[in-house]
Amino acid sequence: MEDALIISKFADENTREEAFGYLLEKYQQKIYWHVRRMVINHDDADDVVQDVFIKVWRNLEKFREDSQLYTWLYRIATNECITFLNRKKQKQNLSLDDDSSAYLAETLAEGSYFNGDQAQMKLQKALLTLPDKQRLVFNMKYFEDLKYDEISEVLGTSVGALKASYHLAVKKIEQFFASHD
Amino acid sequence: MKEDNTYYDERDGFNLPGSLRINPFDVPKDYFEKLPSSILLQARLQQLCAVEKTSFSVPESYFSQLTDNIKSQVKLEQHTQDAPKTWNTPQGYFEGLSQNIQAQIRIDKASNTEELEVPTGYFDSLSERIQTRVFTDKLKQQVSTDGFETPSGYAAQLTGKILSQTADEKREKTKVVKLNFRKWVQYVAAACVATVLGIVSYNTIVERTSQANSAESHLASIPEEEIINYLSALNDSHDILDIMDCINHSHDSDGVCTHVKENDIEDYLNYML
Repeated sequence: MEDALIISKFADENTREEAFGYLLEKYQQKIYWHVRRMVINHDDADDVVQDVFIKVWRNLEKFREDSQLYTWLYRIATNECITFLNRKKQKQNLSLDDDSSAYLAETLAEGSYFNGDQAQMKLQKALLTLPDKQRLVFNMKYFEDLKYDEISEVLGTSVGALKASYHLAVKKIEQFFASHD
Repeated sequence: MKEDNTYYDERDGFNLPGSLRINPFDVPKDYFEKLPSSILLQARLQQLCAVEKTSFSVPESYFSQLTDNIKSQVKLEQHTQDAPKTWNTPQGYFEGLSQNIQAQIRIDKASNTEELEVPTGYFDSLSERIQTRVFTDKLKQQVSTDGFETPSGYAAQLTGKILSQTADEKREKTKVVKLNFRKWVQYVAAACVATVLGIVSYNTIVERTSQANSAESHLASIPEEEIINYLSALNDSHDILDIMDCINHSHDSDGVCTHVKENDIEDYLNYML
């Protein structure tokens, strides 16, 4: 179903639930994987995704359509991920500037709902050495194949800064691979 | 035809025999019958030729120039015959000539347009960016997915969980609270007081901002160095010195100080994201 139709059906109280069902069907997997790649753990991703869609349910009628629906959804999901990760760091008494993400690496090492091969595990470990926002940019570009313009809409950052961030991320991953051969 | 003996003139004993008097010559059949008509025809032809000769004319001094014209024509012919022997063209030259000329015209047109520009420092970082791209492409061949998976039937469960939470939200929204009339009057009175206070404080703020604007215009007239000296005297932070240091260094066309290190840029990018 077209996004415009979902929004218009959602605006009508009689068809709101039906529209929300269509929205879930269309976007829940994309949003889930976007979140999962950031928080690593399936249960954590489950919680965050639910929070995301509850926020969507509350705020969709206020959506001004000044951007695409999916970029708006991604923006909410991204913010929820960052909030979740910061909350985790606070619980672990880590500084918010601490990018080591050791707790995520532990989750990854547990191997829960991860059936990747050695190369995939190595890449995920390399990604966890990046700052959260840089990892976010890499995931969106590399795994989700979004264009820089689209990532810019989601994150509210210039295309030039995103290109530089992605380029630095790839360099670090390359160095990680070289040092862990 | 037998002719009379004209040789028999007072010569006795010397006449030729009669058998020799026969004319040995002969003529074509009906020669003498056709002779008058053929003579008349010849006479008429002669008459006609004489008339044609006198009807054509030539330009003035034609014959005087004729010799020179013929000689120059002969020289041209000789030159044309000689030319192929001294000049050669590559094979297929004339077949491709028109295409080559059109291509050259297109090139000339293109070179007359404005020169293409590239961003500052584009070529400096190009090889690095290409190497990054090469690494990413190789990585994608090895690792195209993230390796994560979900429990079976998770997608359907997720929909159910979300919809049940949204149904709860809906029930909470439709909760009806009865208002007490007396309390309602108190709320209105409180709202009026709040409105009046709000208007008064808004006017105060507007006056302050207009004062601030005039202060800003005063600041603009003060030289930059004086402001920096004043701030550095007030604070003991090293930021002012770093900023001054950057002001004095060269900047690229984007306004970025060339003295700034890559780590500083990365920290700034992470902060901005």
